[in-house]
Amino acid sequence: MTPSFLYPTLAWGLALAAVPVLIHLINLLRQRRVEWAAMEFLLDSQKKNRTWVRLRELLLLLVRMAIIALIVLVAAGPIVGHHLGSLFGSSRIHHVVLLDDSYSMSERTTAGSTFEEAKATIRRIAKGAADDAREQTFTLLRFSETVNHEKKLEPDFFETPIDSRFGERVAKALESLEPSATAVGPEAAVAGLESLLGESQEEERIVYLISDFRRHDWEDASSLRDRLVAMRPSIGRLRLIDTSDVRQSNLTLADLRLLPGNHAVGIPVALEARVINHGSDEAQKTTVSLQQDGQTISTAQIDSIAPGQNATTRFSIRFARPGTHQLQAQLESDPVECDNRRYALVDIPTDNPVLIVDPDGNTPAARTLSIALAPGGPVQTGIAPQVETPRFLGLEKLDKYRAVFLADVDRLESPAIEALERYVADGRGVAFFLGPRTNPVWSNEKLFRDGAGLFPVALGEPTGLTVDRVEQLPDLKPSDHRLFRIFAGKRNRFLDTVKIDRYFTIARSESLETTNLKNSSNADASKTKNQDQNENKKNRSATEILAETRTGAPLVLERRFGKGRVVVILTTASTAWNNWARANPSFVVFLQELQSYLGARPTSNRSHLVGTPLRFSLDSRQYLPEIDLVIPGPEGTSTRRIEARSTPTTTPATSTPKQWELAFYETDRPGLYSASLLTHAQKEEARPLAINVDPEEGNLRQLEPDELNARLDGVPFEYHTAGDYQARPIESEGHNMSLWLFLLLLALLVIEPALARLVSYHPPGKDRLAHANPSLGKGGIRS
Amino acid sequence: MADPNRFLQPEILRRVTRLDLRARQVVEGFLAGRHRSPYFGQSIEFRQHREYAPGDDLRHLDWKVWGRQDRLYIKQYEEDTNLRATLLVDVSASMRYGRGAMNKFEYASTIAASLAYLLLRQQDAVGCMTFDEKIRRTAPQRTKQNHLDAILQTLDVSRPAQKTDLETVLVRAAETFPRRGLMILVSDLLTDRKPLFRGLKLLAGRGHDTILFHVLDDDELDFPFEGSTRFEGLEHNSQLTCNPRALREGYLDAMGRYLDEIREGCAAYRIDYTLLRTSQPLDAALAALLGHRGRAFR
Repeated sequence: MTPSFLYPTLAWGLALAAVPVLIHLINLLRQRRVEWAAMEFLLDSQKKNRTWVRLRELLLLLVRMAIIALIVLVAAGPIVGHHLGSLFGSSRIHHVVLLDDSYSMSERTTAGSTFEEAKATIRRIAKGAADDAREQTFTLLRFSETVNHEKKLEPDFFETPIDSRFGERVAKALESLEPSATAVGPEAAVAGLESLLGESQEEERIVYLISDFRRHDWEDASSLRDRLVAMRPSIGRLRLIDTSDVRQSNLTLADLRLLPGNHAVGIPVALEARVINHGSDEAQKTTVSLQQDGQTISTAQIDSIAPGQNATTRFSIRFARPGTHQLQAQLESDPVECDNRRYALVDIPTDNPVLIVDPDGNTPAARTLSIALAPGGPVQTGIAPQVETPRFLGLEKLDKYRAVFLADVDRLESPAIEALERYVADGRGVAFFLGPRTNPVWSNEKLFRDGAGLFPVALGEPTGLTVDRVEQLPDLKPSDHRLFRIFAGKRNRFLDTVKIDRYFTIARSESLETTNLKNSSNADASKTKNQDQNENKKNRSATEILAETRTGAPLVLERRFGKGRVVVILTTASTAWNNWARANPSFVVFLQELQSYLGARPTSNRSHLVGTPLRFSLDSRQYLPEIDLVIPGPEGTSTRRIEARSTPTTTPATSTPKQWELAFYETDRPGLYSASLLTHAQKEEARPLAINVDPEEGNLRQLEPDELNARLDGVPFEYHTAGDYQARPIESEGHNMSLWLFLLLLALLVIEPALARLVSYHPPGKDRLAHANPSLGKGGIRS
Repeated sequence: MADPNRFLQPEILRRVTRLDLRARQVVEGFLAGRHRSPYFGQSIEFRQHREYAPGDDLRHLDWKVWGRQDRLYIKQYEEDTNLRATLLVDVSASMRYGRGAMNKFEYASTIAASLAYLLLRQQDAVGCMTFDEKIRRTAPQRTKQNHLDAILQTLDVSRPAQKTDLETVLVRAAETFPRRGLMILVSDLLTDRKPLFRGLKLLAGRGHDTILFHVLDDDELDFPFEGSTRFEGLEHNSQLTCNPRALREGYLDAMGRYLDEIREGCAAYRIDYTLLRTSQPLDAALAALLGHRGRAFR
């Protein structure tokens, strides 16, 4: 067995063990010569004690040599292998490698990439283990395997016995490994390892966590630390090997989305791309290109992005065909390629049908609305208004309409009210324009219903707005709500010219909120994000005032109902009670915005993060329990079929039809996926999906070693850089004997003085006293 | 007032190179330290009268007889002389050892000279023999004060170099000084015990009163050596390289047994035995002599 040490250089100090022998030899050379008279007694003593004296002296010499040798050995950290190590505990060495293959590991470096450095480190570990004849096993688990805890772990190697050719096997297996696009952090990986290994007393484990130690993965490492502390008995030694030693800037394309508006064929739609500068220097002239079906259709440039900050750029795209369009935005090449692309799906209809309900089907209000929404001629709005009577609401399905406008409707039948409430509750929008025919009593009773109904407020009587001849303030005071934000420009004075003659008052105003909605867009985003969670709460949400009259009376109100919105304009759409629709461009703009606002559907959940499983709930009455998934791959797309794992389930509380539950886990590659659903009638339905990377993983800022120490306080570990670890011989793996040798050293340090006293090398205290005072007789014979 | 005994310390005496001066200093120092007179009376037993002859000491005339008979007679006693003492001083090679102020030979010589000085001062006849394996020098027994020089010359041995053979020496001494007297043996006795005791037995058998001053160096009694040491025998060809501390206990045991044997042997032959360390003040030897004389004339 080849001896091995943690610090082999120190092992040369073992030569110091010869020092006692050298001292002995030097003493022999320097020995004193004494002419002695009483040889008889000396020879007599020597004759009697010769054997024991030599034995004890030899023993003392060996003890002293052993003490020096042990001091050196304890410092050098001797490692013994299986056979000897088993006497002190474990019997087998298990090398467990946790390989970070999140996409930040794909960072390009001068030597290749961070991931290549990690693979080289693993090859060294494997080769070193293969060169050692001791009994060893090897496990390699990539971080990306632990991205989904529901998925069964499939390590590349699991407790594989190590033989002399193991290094070659590992090198071959590593050839095909590439960084994933996941953003799995160390905690998930360690949790996966815990479930994979369990506890074992039969082996000594050396866990190598090979990662680039990005700061974002370690911001809150308390749970990771707790887990490592809990796993301490099952992890023999923990080695953190840092594979990244360069500091590079990186830009991440964090978002690509369609901005709200009237999206239709031939109508320019706005797309916004958001770029994060993860570097420490300002990024200048960042070019973002937009591609459709692999063809670049537009480029945009961001002049400057401050370090650590976001910047957005917009594309105005006109789609010629209706349907779902697949888009991809791309940044120029930088150290990490994976986060330079962003995928999005955009649904573009031929047009957006809007229903205008008018009591007679041909009132001025309806005409005004219809013309404002679709002026016709060269002006393309993408809106297709349809004017109908109230009866239409109860007879036809409303799902196809992007929004419903009710213009001075005096009465609705119950089926119409129910259909309208279902329509809004399902996530659509309705706008009420009031007027002379509006019956507040009926409205309060049927539409408002003490807050349970669709209508946001209880109406009072209509009233006139007194003419302001002194200050001449605008009659319309808009908030900064999204509907009016387009008028926020200082030079835009169109709203100031609006004159309000009459409007409905509010009978009960206790539930009104006079919020300015300053952060309306963010609020919208958050509302959308948490829509499902807050659904019930929103059903009873307060009514917000979006615009007031000059006197402070509410003029435009909004209330959420179910998933949808209801906007009430307390005056007429026509010019009966105001002059807004009379040659004022702001009215057209307001209606376009209102249509867009009401027609904005909750974002369909078609964009996923890499690693997130795709789940499908299919109506068992309509669909077969299987889906063909077209997934992107390194060499084009491929098709995978997934099937429902069990019989269809039903939810008793909702009494919804039985559902097939399907899931697809291999979403480890960003791109555009497509799920092909098959109906019982053998008709295919395509559901495209976009899978994108987690933009935060593109932050290459690293954790400093001292920060790592602080975050893993209480967890014993060794920290190495990949280059540093290169110098470490793998032969040192095994049982570290330092502790045992230290205990032996302590024992010998206790034994040595006693033995030396026994051999009489140390004069007893009485003798020393006698030397100081000869009159005491020196401990010898008194005369 | 300075302590007169300081002149008895070997460290002080060592500075006095001349042995006669050294002996004088020892004796005077010794006497100055005693408050009673050390001189003992000549209470020798009366034997007969003898008619005066010219040359006789007038102090011995019996004036009472002259008054009655008008004739001059002198008193004759059992002993017509004082004590006859013989100093037997070992000058063998082993006496050369000593790491202190004096080696054993110097210490023994000083004792012998001091005793001679003291004895001659009180009119005793003192003779001296130095010996190793045989008699080296001899000085006859005389009472004259200037006889001290002859004794000192006898003690003047440049370098002790031979082995010790005490039996032969003691036999020769008994033959040389056949008249009963006081034998003062000064030696380290590092020789075979059986011949030693045979010699002592011979002296006792001849009626000699024997005082034995056993002179040993501190090192020989304490064995204080440390560190690797090569011991080479002074009288033997033997040599030993060892760690002295490892052998110390056994050495002291052997030395203790040896001293016990000597003491027992001396007691058996009624020999006055005194063990002297070379670091001890020299008055111990004089006190031992006086003590012996006191016991002898009681």
